[in-house]
Amino acid sequence: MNKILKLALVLFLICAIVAGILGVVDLVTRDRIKEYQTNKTNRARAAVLEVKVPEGEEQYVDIDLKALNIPTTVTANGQDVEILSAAQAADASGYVVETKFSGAQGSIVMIVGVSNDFTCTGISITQHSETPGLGAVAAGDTQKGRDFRASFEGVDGSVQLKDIDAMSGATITSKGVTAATAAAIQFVEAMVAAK
Amino acid sequence: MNEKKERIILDVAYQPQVRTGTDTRRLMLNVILALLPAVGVAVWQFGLNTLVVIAASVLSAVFFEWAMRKLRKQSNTIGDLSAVVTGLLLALTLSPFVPWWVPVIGSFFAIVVVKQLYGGIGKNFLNPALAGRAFLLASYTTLMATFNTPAHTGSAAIDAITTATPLNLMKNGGEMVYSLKDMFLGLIPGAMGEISALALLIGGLYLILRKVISWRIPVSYIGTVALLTLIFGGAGMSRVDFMLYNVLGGGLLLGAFFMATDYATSPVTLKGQLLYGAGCGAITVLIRYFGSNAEGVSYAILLMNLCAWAIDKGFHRHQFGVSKEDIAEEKAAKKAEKKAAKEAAK
Amino acid sequence: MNFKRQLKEGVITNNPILVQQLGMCATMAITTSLFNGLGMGLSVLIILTCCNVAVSAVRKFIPDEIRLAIFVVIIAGFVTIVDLLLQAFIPALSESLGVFIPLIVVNCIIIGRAEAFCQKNPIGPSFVDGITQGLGYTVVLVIMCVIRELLGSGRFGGGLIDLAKGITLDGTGEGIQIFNSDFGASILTLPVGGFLTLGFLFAAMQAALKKAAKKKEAAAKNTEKEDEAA
Repeated sequence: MNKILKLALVLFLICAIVAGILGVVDLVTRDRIKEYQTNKTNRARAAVLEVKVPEGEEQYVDIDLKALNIPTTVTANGQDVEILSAAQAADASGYVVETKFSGAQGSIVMIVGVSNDFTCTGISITQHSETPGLGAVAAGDTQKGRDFRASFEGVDGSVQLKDIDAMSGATITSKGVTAATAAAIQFVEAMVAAK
Repeated sequence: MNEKKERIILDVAYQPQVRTGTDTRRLMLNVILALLPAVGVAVWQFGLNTLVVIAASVLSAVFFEWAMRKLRKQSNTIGDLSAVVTGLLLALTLSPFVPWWVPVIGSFFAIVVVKQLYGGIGKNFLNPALAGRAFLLASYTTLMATFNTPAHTGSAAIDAITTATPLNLMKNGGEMVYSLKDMFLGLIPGAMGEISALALLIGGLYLILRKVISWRIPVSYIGTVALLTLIFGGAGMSRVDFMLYNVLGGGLLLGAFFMATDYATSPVTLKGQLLYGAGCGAITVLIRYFGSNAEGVSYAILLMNLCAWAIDKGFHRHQFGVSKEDIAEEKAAKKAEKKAAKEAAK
Repeated sequence: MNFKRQLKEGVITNNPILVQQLGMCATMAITTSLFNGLGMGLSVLIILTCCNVAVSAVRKFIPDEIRLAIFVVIIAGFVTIVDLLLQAFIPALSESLGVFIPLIVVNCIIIGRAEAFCQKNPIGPSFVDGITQGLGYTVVLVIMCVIRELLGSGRFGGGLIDLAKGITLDGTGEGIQIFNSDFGASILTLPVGGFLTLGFLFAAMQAALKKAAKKKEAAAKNTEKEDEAA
């Protein structure tokens, strides 16, 4: 009994010391990490919809999706697209919607900018696991990728694969991106109508 | 007394004592012959580029084999022509307009890594040509995925010709502009060795008749693909049509006759070969239906290559001259013995 | 504590990856750019050294029955500290390495050295051991990164070096393009390539060690012969 007590005591002591040190490190780094994360999301959002607000002010106002009573999974062009988050630009120039859909090699997370007249202002893929050279071109910084993404600017909620500049050899990815763009615009339409 | 002792000379020739002229070189020459119709169709359709790619592939394969054996101070085996066949098969799975260095890199991987590093001919655990193709598919995706319009087209109208292969069209829901006759004769785009079903069937039949390969693997492979596509259908066309398009299209015929039958990587037992062919067929159909690739032949054969040893183990006969009844009898006798021993011990 | 001997052991004869064959998972997964490789290698070096010193410091007080549990707590503590510091100060590295930083907790090298070396040796040698083993690990990671990046995309120093900006710690360095990336066999930047490259490195190491052993044997035989002749 004594032995077990001693073991427990030693273990507790070591855990306590380690936990204490971790607490201190966390205190030092917590704010910096949070700041970086918000900057990262804002940078991705700014890539699709630029917002003009004075320096230091919040650029995007997050919308509480649960408070609205509209479904967060939209089916567009026969494909299911999940809406992860939505935010309104602080200067009311439009909305940014984060979508998740399945590509050729797994899920793709993409941010879509939607203007007040329900057209796309830009798309930006933030997470994917597509094949390099094929589907990954949609997310990459090559001329082909930029042209692909640029062809989505100005489309509305009824965009089809034939309306945009699809990537040859990456039809499934192109279809997914088209469906997600349409879904994002349709979601914003529904959101505005519900207000 | 006869002082002169007669020296009895036991003169027995070293194996093989029955020479039939079938050695590796002969086999390989037959395979090359069987591939010539397909090469011919490729040249007719795609011009002299075909020969450039084939030459690059074959010459580099032979060079790498020679160089690798020399570096490791082993015997020179390029005379058995197996490197030539690997190079030729690899080239036939490529599009005719790939840059010349693509088959060279593919040959390097196929000969040096897959074949020679594992012990040379007969000891490879994967089909070298297919492994080389898989390496190239993953390394140069755009180059490997673009095909070109053939010089001669059949029923498809000129302006409707795309560079999408029939399998691509079926996968992505495009309109099928190629007729079955086109696919049989080779009037479609695709990799050099895949396009003409007729040329490949001639070659395959030649190999079976010359007893280079057995009918089991090709028949079970193609049969399984035909059966499964007939049952499940797809691509908005009639079942029979869909089955025929699948059998004639893609690398199925090339794979079934020339790749899946490689001696080192397919089972030896007869029943095992049937199972192996069926397995290849099933995986091919699975990939064609559910995978993001339109073509499943290369990966299917590679996967089954890995299972060939297990299939052989499952089907192998324990002893020659011993029938199943004998084995059962032996087992029963052993069991009775054990029982008797237990009773005695009690 | 023989620094030179421990250095040779850590980097060559007892290299954690190529000889002890520990910690291979991260090696194959993250060595796609020099930024990742150096970042991971240095992180492991720091964590290994800290853990070695900590374990060696408390080795006389920890009861034998719970020693593994205590090792894991100490290792997890240091890994979390390094993880938080990386997230705060070099976030690009933290993103590129992703889940492999928390996975350092179960990296066999660290718990292996703690068990095999630090619980029987004083702080000094343990500290040196941490540095040398960590150095061996980093050297192998860097070699793998250079090979995979060069043959896979024709680049050197991706994420870290930039011809315009010098050394970039935010992962945006373009690297030096040695040849056009279209000629690179991009399979080498995929996990398959990791397995292949590591396999070749193992073979190279084994060949080198065998050669060295043969040389030693031949030298020993020679001295034997000389002694006999004398």
